[in-house]
Order: sequence, then structure tokens, then C-alpha cells
Amino acid sequence: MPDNIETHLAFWYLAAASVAASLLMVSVRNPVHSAISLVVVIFHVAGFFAILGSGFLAVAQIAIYAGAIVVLFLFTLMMLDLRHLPEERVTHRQLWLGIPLALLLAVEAVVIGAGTPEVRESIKGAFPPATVSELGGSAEALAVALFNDYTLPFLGASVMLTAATVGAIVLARRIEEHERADFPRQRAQTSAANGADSAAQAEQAAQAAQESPR
Amino acid sequence: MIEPGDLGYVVPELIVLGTALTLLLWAAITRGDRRWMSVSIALAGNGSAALMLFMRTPADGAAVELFAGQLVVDGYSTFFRTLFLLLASLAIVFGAQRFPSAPLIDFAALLQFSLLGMMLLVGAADWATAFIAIETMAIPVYVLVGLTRFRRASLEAAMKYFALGAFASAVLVYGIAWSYGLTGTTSLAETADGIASRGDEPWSLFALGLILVALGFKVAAVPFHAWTPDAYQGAPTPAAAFVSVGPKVAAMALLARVVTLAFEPLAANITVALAVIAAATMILGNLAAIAQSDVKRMLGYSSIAHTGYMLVGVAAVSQTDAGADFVGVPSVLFYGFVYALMTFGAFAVAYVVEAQTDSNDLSAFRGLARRSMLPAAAMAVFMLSLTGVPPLSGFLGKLYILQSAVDAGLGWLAVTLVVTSVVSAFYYLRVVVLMFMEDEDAPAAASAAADAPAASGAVADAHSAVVAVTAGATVAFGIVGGGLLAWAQAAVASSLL
Repeated sequence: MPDNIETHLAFWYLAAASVAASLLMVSVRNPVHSAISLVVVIFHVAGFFAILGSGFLAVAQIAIYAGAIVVLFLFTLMMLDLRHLPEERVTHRQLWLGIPLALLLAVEAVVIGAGTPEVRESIKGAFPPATVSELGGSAEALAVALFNDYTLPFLGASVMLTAATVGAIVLARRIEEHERADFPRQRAQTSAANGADSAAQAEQAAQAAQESPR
Repeated sequence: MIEPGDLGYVVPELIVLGTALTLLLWAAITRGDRRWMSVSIALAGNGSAALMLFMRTPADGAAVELFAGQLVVDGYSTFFRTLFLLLASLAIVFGAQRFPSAPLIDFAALLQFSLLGMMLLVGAADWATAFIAIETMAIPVYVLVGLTRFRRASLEAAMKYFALGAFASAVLVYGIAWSYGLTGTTSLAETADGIASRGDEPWSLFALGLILVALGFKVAAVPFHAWTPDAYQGAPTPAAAFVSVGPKVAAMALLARVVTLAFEPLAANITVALAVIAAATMILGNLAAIAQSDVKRMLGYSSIAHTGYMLVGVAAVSQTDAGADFVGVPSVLFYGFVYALMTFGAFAVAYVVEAQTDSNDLSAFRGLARRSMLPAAAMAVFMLSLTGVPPLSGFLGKLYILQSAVDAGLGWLAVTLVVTSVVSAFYYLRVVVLMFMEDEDAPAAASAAADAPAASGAVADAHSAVVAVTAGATVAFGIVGGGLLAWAQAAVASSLL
């Protein structure tokens, strides 16, 4: 982080705004307002990445979290009926899990922030800051890792996402009547019910079942 | 960086991917009954992939690292890839019996994606590849379980399997992150150096524990097994057959590579942990199977018990001193191979009964020998082999596992294995008794007679071939099991382990 007055001003603004927005997120009653506060938090966290010199991470943060994840939340909220929110404030059991976790995170932040030599020693990896600046920045370092060492998992991820997309389409597609009728058990039941066992009659029964709701 | 030479070694994987995409395109551009065409595409793809697997093996049988150390092609991965190509081919023929045209293409394409994930998983030499491969394997399988989405049971099974599987993946990534934080590398081989230099400090054990928990979910070891019976019972039978063998054996292969490679310096701790898990898995799996009345649920608990047997082999692996020839690994390979064939076959016969009587209840097996002799005979072979009766392959598998457990000084675990196998005889032999020694119920007989034309049409020659191949292999590997064991030993000898 460059040590000049603009950076310090930016840091304190981002710190104050992101803490305020997160408090707002957990305290407002309307879930849509909550989601919008979350977008504000995400933009400010992206700002932290930017002033730390990780431009790529900042853009990825906005594209993935603000662009994709919050939109997913909003879509889910759209499917709920939000006109009748409960009057009393709901205190749920996750609170008792959340408080220790928050304390744990706070301790972790202090330990890492204090930066004892032991901690500094244990935070290592393939790309220490010196290597990153040598390569010309964080985006370049990421590209080097992704397209040299991790090419196979990078390509594999696209196959995995294709498979997941196909799977989602398969599950979400409309169920056609002939699918049920062609299923052997159903076919056996249909034929038993009609006292007929020829495939043609079972098919007719399936067609009749398809037409009846209209 | 992709070296052109590297691509030569992954031609089988590329063919499998090509087959999956071809099936999807085929589905988009054609109409009508496409069942036999989709089976042909998938079988041709898997056949040529298997051919390429053996045409392009590394010279002098050594392990070859590809893609900057992400993937390794060695005897170990070739052994498992052969098994998976066989299983996926059997599953597609099985699926053609069960599904009409459109769902069959979905089934075949998702199966090929899952197959690709399993093939990459057994060759993974880096955590990044291992994670992507495990997800490519698992995500299509969740969908396969829920493929008959108009049945509540199927959707419920898929949802449970998905939720627990996603949770296990999250735990796996957390463990990988810890391992990376401790060692500064994602490579399995380099992880071992990093762990060795740190000794068995609590953080290393924490990382190891998270990874063992996650893989425990994937192989369905107690206490992470709860999803298994529900998933198998709710899934359409061909999907259950594939899920119970493919992903389980692939995850077991990764587990064996992880304990012998990445976390080898912690071998003593791994043995203790895995021995306890294996004992619990064998005991609970076998005891719970006794109480089941649904055949798919029973096979679910039976598959948990067999996970326990394989884990005994893995526990014995890690007990061996470094530098020794890992006595236990070939026995795990052998067991994985024969377990997959006999369990798959048992599901295939369960489907024959399902098509005849519209029921998965054990009572539907009553008098099966009178109705259809060949499936009944094959089921008897599978049940006896799963129990571990000589001269069938399940017996040899257990013998090799026992041998490696005793060699590794895990006598008490070997005793547990024998005792629980005796318990398992109770529920496996009950099926045999029902099939051969009891007459069918009057109503069941009537409905079977009424369905006779549908039943004979529903169980066609291709499905009989699936039953025959698995039963034949179960008998053959029991008699000439030495050949398969020799292959497993050669595979392990030339491997990155």
C-alpha cells in the first residue's frame, strides 16, 4: 500500500463505509435493502483490493460478488412473498454460532495484523510480493500461474461448468408425459389399469393423460 | 503450459469428452427414438478410449508427469481408467433398458462427463486438478440420482446427496487451503516434503483431518455415510449401480494416493485414524444392512461395509515403512476392481426383479429361480462373492486385504473384517434362500404372470449381457485372480506413490 495522504484518506473512507454498510445489511428489515447494502459492502471491499495494488482481484470481486452472487440473492428474494414480513424481530439460533465465529475472525485479524515474524514466515506461497512486481503486477502473476502451472485445472473447470449447466438444464426441463409413460413401472401400471398390455394402448393412455388437463 | 507431447497421453480423456459433447449435439439435431444410437456413440467412444489407453502407455512403464506436474500417467491411473471405462459402458447399456429415448441421452452424456472426472481424478498429481476432477465426477452424478425427477424419492435423494456432497467439497477445499498454507505448494509430491519438514505438528494433522473427512464423505465411510442408502434407494437403478461403484472407487484411489504420497510423512497417524474409521464402517454397514427390506437400501449399506474392507487395505498401506513396496496398495486395487463388478451386477439383477414385479422389496426375490433362472443364478454368484465365499473373486479380494492387514501388524482389524464378513453372510444368503428355496407369494406370482409380456420385453438381451459379463468376471477373477493381482502389482510398481 503506497504511503501517501490520498491512500490513507481512501483507506479510512473505505473502512468506515464498509463497516457502516455491513451493519446496515444485518440490521435493516427489508431483505431487498439488505441485499443492496451487501452490494455497497462488496464495492468497498473491492476498493481495498484496488489500493493494495490488486486491480484484477478488485474487478473480479465486483464481477463475481456484486454481479453474480447478489443478483442470485435478488432472484431468490423475488420468488418469496415479501409483502407480509413478520412484525416481531426474529432472533435465531445462528446468533450463538455467529458470535464466537466473529470473535475468532477478530482474533485472527489481530494476529495477522500484528505480523509476528512467525506469522510472516508461515504466510508463503509461489508468488511473494517481489515475484509479483517482477512479473509486472498481480494480473500478470495470476495469468502466469493460470496459463503455465494450472492450465489443466483451468481447462478442466470449463468442462466441469459445462457438465453442471447440462445437469441443471436436465433437471429443470419440463417433464413430458411420455417420459412418465415410458418408464417401465409406470408402463406396467398403466397397462394393468387399462387391462391392456400392448404398447399402442399404453401410448394412447399416455396421450389421453396428456390431453385431459387442457 | 500445454506441451503438444502431453496431449498424446490424454487422448482417452479427450475421446470421452468428445463423446459427451457429441451426445448432446446429437440430442439437439435429431428426433424420434435415439436409444440405440446413443448407446452406440457412447460404447464406440469408450471402446476407442480403452484402445488408446493401451496404445499410448509410457515407455519403460514409468510414471509420466504432464501439464506442469498437474496430471500423472502411470500404471495406477491406467488400471483405474480401464475399470471406469468398463463400468461406464455397462452403465449405458443398463440405462438403455431403463430410460426412454430423451432421458437416456441425458443419462449417457452426464455419465461420460462423470467418467471424464473419474479418469482425471485417478491421475491427479496436484490438489488443483484433484479438486476440479472430483467435482466433474460428482456434479453429473447428483443429476443422475435425480434423473427421474417426477418421483419425489428421486429428487429427495438427489437433494440430500448434493447438499452433503457440496458440504464435503467445501471441507476438502478448506483442507487443501490449510495444506497449501503450511507447505506453499499444491503439488502432491511437494506437499510431502513440506509436511515432512514440519513434522507432525497439530496444524498438519488438522489439514490431514479435514481432507480425510471430505474423502470419507465421498467413499461413504462411517460416520459420513448417512447419504448412501437414501441416495441409492431413491436413484433410478442404473444410476444407483454406477454411483455405488464408480465415484466410490475413484475417491478411494485418490485417498490411497494421498496417504501414500502427499501425507506419507504422517503415515502412523493416518493408520490409526483409518483403522478406527474402517472398523466402525465395517461394523455399522453390516449390522444396518441386516435390518433392510429394500434391496437397493440393503446394497447401500453393503457398499458402506465394503468401503470399510477397502479402508482396511488403505490403513495397511500407510503402515508400511517408506521405501517398501506398499504391500497394501495392490490389494486395494484388486478389491476395488472386483467390488465394482459384483456390486454393479447385483444392481443389474435387482433391476430385472424391479421390471418383473414393480418392486424393490426383498420379498420380490421370492422364487426368482422359478421365474427366471439365469438372473437368479447370477444374483447367487454376486451375493456369495460379496460375502466372500471361495472360489469367487470377493473371497480373493478379502484374502489379499487380510494378508496386507496382518503384514502391517493390524491383527485386530483383520479379526474385525472376518467377524463382520460372517455377519454379512446373514443378509446376503437370505437373498439366495429367498430366490431358490421359497415359493413366490400368490399375489406376486399373479402380477408377475400378468406382466409377463412387458417383463420379457423390458429385460432384453443387452441387459442379460450386462448381468452375464459381471457374473462371468466375478467367477473368473476368483479362479484366475492371480492375473488381476499381478496387473495391480505391476501398476503400483510403476506409479507415483
